[in-house]
This record gives sequence, C-alpha cells and structure tokens, in this order.
Amino acid sequence: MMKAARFPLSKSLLGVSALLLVSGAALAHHPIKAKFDPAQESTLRGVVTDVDWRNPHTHVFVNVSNGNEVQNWAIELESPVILARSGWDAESLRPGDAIEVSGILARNGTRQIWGETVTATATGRQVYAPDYSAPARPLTSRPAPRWPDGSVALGKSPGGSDGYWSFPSKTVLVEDGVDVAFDRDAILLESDDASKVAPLQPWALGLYKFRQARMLQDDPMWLNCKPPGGPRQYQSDLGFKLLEDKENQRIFVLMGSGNHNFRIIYLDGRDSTGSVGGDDDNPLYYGRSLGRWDGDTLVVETTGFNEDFWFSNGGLPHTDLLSMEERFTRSDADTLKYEVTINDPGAYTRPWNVSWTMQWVGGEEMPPYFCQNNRQ
Amino acid sequence: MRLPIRGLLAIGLLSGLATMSSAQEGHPAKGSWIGEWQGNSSGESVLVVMNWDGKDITGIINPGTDNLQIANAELNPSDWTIHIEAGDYKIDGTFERLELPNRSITGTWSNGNASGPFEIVRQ
Repeated sequence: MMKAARFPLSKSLLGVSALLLVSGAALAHHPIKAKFDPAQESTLRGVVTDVDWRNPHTHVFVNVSNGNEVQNWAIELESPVILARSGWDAESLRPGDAIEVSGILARNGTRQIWGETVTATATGRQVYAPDYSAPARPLTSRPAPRWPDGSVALGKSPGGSDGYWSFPSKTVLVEDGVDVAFDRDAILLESDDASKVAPLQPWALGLYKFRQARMLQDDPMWLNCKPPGGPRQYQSDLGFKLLEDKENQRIFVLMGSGNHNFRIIYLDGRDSTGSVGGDDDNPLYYGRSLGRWDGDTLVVETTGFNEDFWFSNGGLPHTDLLSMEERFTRSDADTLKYEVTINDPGAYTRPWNVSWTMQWVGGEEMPPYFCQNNRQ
Repeated sequence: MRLPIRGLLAIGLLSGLATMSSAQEGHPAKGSWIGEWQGNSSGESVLVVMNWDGKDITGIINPGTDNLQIANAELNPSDWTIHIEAGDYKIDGTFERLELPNRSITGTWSNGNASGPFEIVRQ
C-alpha cells in the first residue's frame, strides 16, 4: 500500500526534522512494540536518500513519491551489531537505490516504519535482514580449557585466542519449568501468563503487568543507560567477557551492553559488607559479589543491590532485599552454563531458579556498542 | 542584560538538579513524598516517608505536627490505590505517573470531621 502524500517535500523534511529534534528520548533503543504498532502494517516504495548506520538502531531514509508529492520516511532496523553479524554493512544500500519496505508504522503517527522486510527493487533481493542465530558450533565437543593449576578457565584460555560469551539460550527471565511465550523483546504474547513467569508478590505482579502493558517503554536501561544488573547482564545479544585476575583473586565481568560497565567478583575471602569506598550502606547496580569454587563450578553470592534499574529484560521488579546465588559452569570449551537462584522476599513469595547456557564466540572482541541516541 | 558566566553555570546546575529525581524501580510507594493538602488546621504542607520491608508499608507522615507513625497502609495494585492510617489521619489516594520516579499520589485526607484533597509527589 502506498501511503498518500500530504505535504510538499520541503515541509515534510522540516516536519520530520522538527519531530526528531523534539523526541530525542524516543530515538533511543526500545522494544519494537513500544514505538511501532503491530496492528498498522504498511508497505512503502521509494528511493534511498541516506543510511544512518549507528547504534542503537540503523535507519534508512527513503523518499516516497505519490503523484507530484514526495515524503521522506525513516525506516528503522536492527542495530548495526546484529546486522553486521548477519553479513550487512553501511553500504549494503546506497542513496539512489530503489527499495520496497514492509513493516509496521510508528504509534505516534510520524513517518517512521519498523522495517520487517526491505527489498532492493533492482535485484529483488532482501537486504538488512537480521539473522539472530548463533554461529555454528564445532562438530565435536572440545574440553573446557584449564589454567596451569588445573582450574577451569572461564574466559580466554591461557595462551589461547580472545573471545567472549554470547547467544544466551534464554533472553527472558522466567522460572525454570514455566512454559510461556514471549517476543524477542521479552513482551508476553499472552498477558494472562504474567502470574506464571515467577512467584511474584501482588504488588510486583501488578507492576510487571503495568510495564508489560506499556511495552517496556520505561526500561531505564534504554531510557537512561542504567546498567543491566542482576541476571540481566547474561541475557544480552551483546555478550560479556570473564577476565580472571588470578594474582588478585578476582574476576572481572565486562559487559558488552549498557555502557560497557564491569562487575567484580571477589574470591579472596573478604566479608560481604562494605563496598569499594568502604561504605556498607551503598547499594550498587551489580551488588557485592563473593565467589568460591565448587569443583569446576564458580559459585557467586551477591547482595547489596540498589533499586534504580530493571534486573530482567521483561520488567520483573526487584527490591534492595534481593540476593542471588549464581553458578557458572564451563561444561566444554564452547558452553557456559549459568544457574541462578533469586531470593528477593521484597518482591517474590519464595526463592526461584532460572538457568540457561551461553556460547563461546572465539577469535573476536565484543562488538562495539554503547548506549546512545541516534542522530537528531 | 548580561549574566556572568558563573551565574549561567549556577542556573544550569540548578535546573539540572531540579529535573533529577532518584530512580525507584522497586516498590512504588517507597521513598519520600512532599505535597500539599487543603484545609488542614496544622498546615497545608505534608511530608510522607514510606518504606517496604517485604510485608508491610512502614514510615511516617508529618502534616505540620510531630511525625506520626504509619499504623496501617495498604496498596491495591489492581487500580494503584493506597490507604494510609497514621494517628487520627486517614489518607486515600491513587498513584499517577506510576512509570516515573517523580510519580504522585492524589486523593483525600481526613481527620475526624475535617477533610480535603491532597497531592504528594515523590522526591
């Protein structure tokens, strides 16, 4: 369907520019359904004027003609990180290319569309199609690498090539054994399933439903670049690295998401009270983490969280009473199993367990990604 | 009129601080709330401080008197209403702008035969 043009080009460009200028927050990363309405499907045909290859979302600008009138539309696509993994780059489309776009329109009525398919008219080929699948695994399992003292290496193997963990088998925090369906942004496909996701107290269930109903548009990780504390740090497409500092008995967890924050797990037997500055009343985004080895499994106890962030992709609430026991097991060279027991008597009726696996991405650095607005 | 650089910096800093509000993504009632209620003989400003211990909302209200301990507070998450009892005061309100750190509660307060509307905003 060709959208009817309503404004001359110059006015429409001015209008789009003005809208973009005044709605900076809306340009930040966001769940798709928070900005675009699945009920408003549309197809546009036009000519590319610009490709904005930049986090958190790629944009292709296209002039759409209707009779003597032309409108400039913004086509929003996945992040350059995901598109680059899928084999695309900033020049996969160029100004002057004719394309057809199918997708869903912006809820606020501006000339923006989420591009579900983008097809180059000249070749009939789809471009900028995201591929979310993990890289192929080795045909045979390789043993987990070990340090000279025999302990399992959780990150880069001694003398081995660099790499990081990514492609979590679950990107939504939901209690083990619970079978409910979500979209890629952790929005429930059936809102009535909210009470099944975790053993939520009534107020926490109400708040979870409220956030879900608003399509997670208030997520402070995207709105305010807040750190992905709690188990959320291991459910990002952007990955993380585990750097073992054997000499100082600590492990750094470097995030590929958020603002590239890091978390420190101490294995030196220190007390759990107090923080970096010695202030024991200073709750943190990542809490205070003490680790120990149980055979080949790293066990981490964490307390001292603040309440300034969302600890899950789907908007499950937590309180400062939250404590976690995490277990990291590198079962082979390419697989890291993560198990967490969540104990938050402020938001949940009982402790509950979640587990998933991550895949090793060897020979690469984490993809560059910073929390930022697209261009104004 | 010329404003000195320091003045501009101070204005910028103050306006920045004015828009800051500590984030609070946990229990929606938790925090310090300041506002006004009309018709109260001891003053029309009120301070409410609420905490959540996992089972109960605790805290104090100060309607221009000494602090009064919250004896009972119930949050209804189906419609985001709250009922608070402290001393002889009873407060019934509804959360607004729940998604924001500087959310508000509006409703009515009563104390014996006296009553009136109120609005408090989370700081």
